[in-house]
Amino acid sequence: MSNKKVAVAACTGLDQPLGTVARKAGYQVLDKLRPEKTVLLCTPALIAGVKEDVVYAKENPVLVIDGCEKACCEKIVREIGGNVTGIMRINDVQKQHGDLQPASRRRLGPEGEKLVEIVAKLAAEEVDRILEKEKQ
Amino acid sequence: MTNKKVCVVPCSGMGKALGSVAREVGFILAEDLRPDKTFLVCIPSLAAGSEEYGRMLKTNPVIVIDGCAERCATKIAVKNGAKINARFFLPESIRKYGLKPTNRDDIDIEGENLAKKVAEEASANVDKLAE
Repeated sequence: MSNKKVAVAACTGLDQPLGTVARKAGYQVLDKLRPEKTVLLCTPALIAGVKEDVVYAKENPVLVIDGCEKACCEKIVREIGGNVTGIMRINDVQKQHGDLQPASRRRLGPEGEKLVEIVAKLAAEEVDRILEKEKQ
Repeated sequence: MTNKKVCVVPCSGMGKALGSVAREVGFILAEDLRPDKTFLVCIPSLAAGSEEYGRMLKTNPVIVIDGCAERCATKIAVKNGAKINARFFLPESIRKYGLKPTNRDDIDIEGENLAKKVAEEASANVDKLAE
């Protein structure tokens, strides 16, 4: 039996609201929806080469939650040799769910919070799929 | 008059509540206290190769807000050519102000107040550096 967990890497960007959505969705998956199946990757720590985070990213399947098509988080995880196994882009999810618009990067508002919930639920399902594949 | 802006580089890490506080400090400075004098630097975009962030860091004064002892924001700014003019280390700010946020997702009233205190302190640095 595999004891692997899915390492979740979220955008953490602060130049647009979708970065905040990615961050909050990551917390929902880690703290509420799949706490026993996931570990957190801290994106700045990966960039700065913090050993614990880099090792996690290499030794576990990584689910990237990117805010937009710039795909910064995916680039960062790949750059350090992380095992990118799943990718979610919030701007794609946004298009598929009535174009929900967060109010601002600082305060998401009702539509932004709804988008967080949707992204977190999809991410949790992706965690399950990744771990199922790991067992095979 | 100069058009010089002060780059603010907050940690934005997710592992600890202080990463969320650092982020809020950046927002308070860039949106509330000194919107005309600051330029908020997004660490993931910078690391992913954003030319604008890289250029701004090399050509403007820089204030870093570090959330923990790893000092990732400092390391990343320096690696990208920044000369750091002022640095705030939030574990020290916790001791200084007696405010300790605990929730990394929602920094609560202590986290909000800590962010305001640090941002007010940093705004004085912004005024000097932007002269």
